[in-house]
Amino acid sequence: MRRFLMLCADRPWWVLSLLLAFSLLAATQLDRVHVRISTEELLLIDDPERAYYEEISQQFGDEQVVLLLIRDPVLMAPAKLVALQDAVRRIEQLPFVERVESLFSVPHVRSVDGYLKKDPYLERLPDDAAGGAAVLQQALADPFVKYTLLSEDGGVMSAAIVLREDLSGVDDLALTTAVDEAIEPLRGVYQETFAIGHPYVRTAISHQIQEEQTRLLPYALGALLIALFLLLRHVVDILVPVLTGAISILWTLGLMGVTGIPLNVVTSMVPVLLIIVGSTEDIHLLSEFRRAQLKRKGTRVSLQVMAERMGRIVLLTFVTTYIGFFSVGISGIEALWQFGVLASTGLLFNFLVTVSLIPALLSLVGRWGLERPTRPLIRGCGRLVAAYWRQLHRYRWWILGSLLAATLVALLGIPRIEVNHSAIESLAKDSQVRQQVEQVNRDLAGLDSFSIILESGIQDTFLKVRYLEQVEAIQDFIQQQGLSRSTTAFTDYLAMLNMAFQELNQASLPASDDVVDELMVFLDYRHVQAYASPDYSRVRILVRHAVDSTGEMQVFLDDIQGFIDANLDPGLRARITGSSVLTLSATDSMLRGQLESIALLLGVFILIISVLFTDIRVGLLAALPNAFPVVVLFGVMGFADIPLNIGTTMAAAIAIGIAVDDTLHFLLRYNQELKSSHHQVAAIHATLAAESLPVLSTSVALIAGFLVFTLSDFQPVFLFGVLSALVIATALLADFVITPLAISSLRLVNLWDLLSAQLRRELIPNSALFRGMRPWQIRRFILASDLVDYAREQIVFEPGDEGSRMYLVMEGAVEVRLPAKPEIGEPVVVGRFGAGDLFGDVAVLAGELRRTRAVATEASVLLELSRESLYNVVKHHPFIGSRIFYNLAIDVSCRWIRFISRIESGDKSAEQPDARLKHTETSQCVRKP
Amino acid sequence: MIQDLIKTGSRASRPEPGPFSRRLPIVALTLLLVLVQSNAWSDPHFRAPYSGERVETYEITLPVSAQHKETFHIPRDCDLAQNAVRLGADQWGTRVERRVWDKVMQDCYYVAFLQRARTQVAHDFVSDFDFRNSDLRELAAAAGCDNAKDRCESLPPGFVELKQVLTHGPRESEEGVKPSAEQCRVENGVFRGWVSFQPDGMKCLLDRHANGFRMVAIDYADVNADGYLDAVIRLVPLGRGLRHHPLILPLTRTTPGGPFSVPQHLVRF
Repeated sequence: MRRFLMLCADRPWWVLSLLLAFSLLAATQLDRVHVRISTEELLLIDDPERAYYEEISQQFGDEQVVLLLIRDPVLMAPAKLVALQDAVRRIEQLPFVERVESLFSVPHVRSVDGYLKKDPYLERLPDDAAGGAAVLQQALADPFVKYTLLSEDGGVMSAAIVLREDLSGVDDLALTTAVDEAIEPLRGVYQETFAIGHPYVRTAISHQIQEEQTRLLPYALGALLIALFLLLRHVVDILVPVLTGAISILWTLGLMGVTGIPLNVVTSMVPVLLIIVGSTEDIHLLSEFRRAQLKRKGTRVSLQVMAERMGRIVLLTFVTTYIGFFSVGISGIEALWQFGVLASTGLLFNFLVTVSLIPALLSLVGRWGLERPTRPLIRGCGRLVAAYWRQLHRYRWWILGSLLAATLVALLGIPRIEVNHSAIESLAKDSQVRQQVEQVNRDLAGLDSFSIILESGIQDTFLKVRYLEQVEAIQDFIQQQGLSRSTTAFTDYLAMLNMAFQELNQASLPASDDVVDELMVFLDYRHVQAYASPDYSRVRILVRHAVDSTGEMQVFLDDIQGFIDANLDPGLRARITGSSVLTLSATDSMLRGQLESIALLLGVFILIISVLFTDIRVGLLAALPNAFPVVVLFGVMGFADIPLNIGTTMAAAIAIGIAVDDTLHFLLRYNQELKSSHHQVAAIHATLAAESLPVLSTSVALIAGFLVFTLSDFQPVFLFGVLSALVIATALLADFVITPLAISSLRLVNLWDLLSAQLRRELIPNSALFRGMRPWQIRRFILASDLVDYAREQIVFEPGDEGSRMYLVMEGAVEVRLPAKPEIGEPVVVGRFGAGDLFGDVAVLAGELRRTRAVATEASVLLELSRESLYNVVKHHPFIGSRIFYNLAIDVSCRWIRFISRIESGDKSAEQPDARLKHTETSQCVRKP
Repeated sequence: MIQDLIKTGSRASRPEPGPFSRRLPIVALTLLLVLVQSNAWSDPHFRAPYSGERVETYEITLPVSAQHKETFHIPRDCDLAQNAVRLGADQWGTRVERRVWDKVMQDCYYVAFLQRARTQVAHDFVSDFDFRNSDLRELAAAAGCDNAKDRCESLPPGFVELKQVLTHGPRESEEGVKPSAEQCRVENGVFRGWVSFQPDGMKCLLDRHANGFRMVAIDYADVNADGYLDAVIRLVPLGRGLRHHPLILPLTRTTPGGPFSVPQHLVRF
């Protein structure tokens, strides 16, 4: 990363040219970007339920309609009906309309002098009010009319505009405009007239998206500029993040044009998100550059410092944020998948632009004469930080206790969270379209529906009364439970036919199969094709409802399924399907996906930290300040009755993906400071001093940026903004409280880091103990050791000491001697060991007490390797262990050979024994220089 | 009979008939004959399959084999339809289609029955009677066949005596209304209620929720070739659980204003 940053700094014009070229390429795709809102985008991709739903829609027709709603105290006034009839005719002529179901077309099944009449209720317009009232009364007895085309009080009438299946070439705006034009003459005739349906909802959402794109972006830019001004105070530094954000948005929109990913409720948030989120790394890079400049370093040196200190950090924070965005698409819901892909790729673009443009521009700034000294950011920061740390440390148990209490309280709120996933909920409560939908739900049975399919696989099953009664029983159950005001099925038509023929007062099913057979002779299949298959082996119950909460919907469906399971004839199979059911599948998936994305994100974060610090404990502790905001978020959602929906489901994953960046900055900075100072408190002070301002300012910029979303009229987007800002704020608190306390309790810097580069690169790999081992294997073994200083003449071990450690000389020299005997007078030197040599291993391997004395002949640094750690390495890393023992065996053998050679030569000095040895070509005892 | 009428009319004291008045009886007789003919020979109505509407003719497509369907215009193609059934056509198709074959055959048989019964008649004492608004006792009292006594033939399938479609009922209604002769009325072709045969005659209790019948069509023909025009009433039972299958009630009388009876020895078809 450092090399890449410097490469861009050295080739600024290449960088600028490439960025320009890609930007121009992206710009050519802008005209292909389109807004598209569809119900399918809120559903699961590859949902098997969808295939069944489409099969049922093919057979029985889709229940999605546009309703023309009319309200008037005198609905049936002849003159008004004439105007309505004209409007219905105009609508029927529209190219995308399959048919219009209204009182002008729905058959009024009755018997006249023993013969059937099926002409519509308004085949002839009533002559007067009494005639109109009679028509209303007759129509309200028809289950296909009551609550679908007429309200119970007769004050609201509707016409159901059934759209053609193939609507290619007709977008929602054209459709709604055409319908509105056709019904315009009715506005002066009836008290209230409007058309409503899902095309209208989608059109309203689409309009709002387009309007908000032009409104919210400037606010987001403004929030960013303010934050940049407060922190950086440099024109170039203020403009650069704006530039990187703008370029990444351009490329992202180009990607949308190429891939066909549309702008919808969720993907429309991506440009604003890129402005907000993309700026954080710009701020960190620029801040590091300016800090180096403050220390009087030149541009190139400052760039090198920036690259050295921030390169790896920026890459890691990008990875975590990328995962945070990408994980949103795990749920499998199409809209979220689109968002995940788009946002993460946009972030990738932003990262690439940032790490290439910033060094390039900064390297040119001096040459362009744009450089000027920056003002000091904050004076007296060091004293403030020291005071803060003192107080934090002093009251740490109180503070941690309070946070724990807050966590427990938040946990209580989590079970209260409801899932509510509906396109109509996207609109604000005061939205005209939403209010019209609610009106339909109040006056009629509702705009939404689902189907209960009963089948046997056997022809003519539903021409038998026994099975028709099963259908009726389900309908009765639904009505008794108050779950729906309108269920219609084949049984209703048959009952009406029976009522007409038998001249009964009330519609009822035929009493015997013979009567059914008689009635079937006079049944026109076209009137029931939406409810029965041609062979009458499968029937549908269409249940219209006004349930707008997915929680309520789930209870509704569970009740029905429970009744079916307990009462359905074994010869029949039942299945519930419909867009409402598909929405529920998507809801379950969204909930699961939410948990999976958070778990993935935290898991990856813990892994990254654990690998960086080769200690899982560090990873787990680092996750604490990021898990805390998640718990608080869900707790607040539970207590505040904020539902989990298409917007709020993204908040946790995205916000955590961003929040972990600050923790990463803290930890990595602390790592660097501890390596240089070797003092934890000093390292914490330095970390807080260096990171407070950038972390605080980026968090404030993020909070301000997310709060921009609260200006949206879309409920999910509004809540997304509020919740994301909450998560960032809570994460900021956690990073300034939990993170310092957590890292102060652990040694975050390991031995490997403390060893000098030269020792790591030269001495250790060439040591006899580690011969032939890979660097990671050596590191794994070293991490189990201790580094100890010995002064000149300090004894390392004495005879009689337990032989529990072996020693690798890092610096200095050690002499191992046999204790002096009275008859000899001087101690016998067994061996002299310099840098890279191993001693003390024989007693460890033999398990014997020391027989010799080891003394540092000069100030030395020894790496102490215990028997326990040796055996642990063998146990957990047998390959490394086998290599170690092999090397030990060679080393001990070579020392024996040297010892024997000395005895042979009578030299007791142990000086340069190898000089006298004649080595074979395969000798392992030749020391490497 | 008609000539007697004319003779009677001409015996009354009257002035010397003029040329026109001399021709009037002939004109009246001709008109009467035409009227009788038109009443007898009007085409029957049916309930069209699938729509149930009142029609004189209908078109129906039905399977005649496992793979093949044909369209018939009923009653024009009744012969073709009957031939197809003789070849087993009515065993093909769905349950509904097989039932429609039954209806087509019933309609065709009825048309054939009427056509065979449409001979020249000498006496018509039924066509001027308003069956749809009549005293039920007059119709129900029509004696049918007492096989033990008269050794007459029983009615063919689908034919009924009115007594067979009347429901015997309670001695009084829930509101305490007792049956009476006055309630034995067919109104607009419909009777719904209970009947009871008491020593002083038939009594009825009107109840619109009770079973009953509706007269759906009245045709005229000499169904037993006795020279007297007969009324052929098609009626359907009304009420929950009853099959809505048209039943045929033939009625006749041999004197003007005389009692009705069920014609015997119907023309077979």
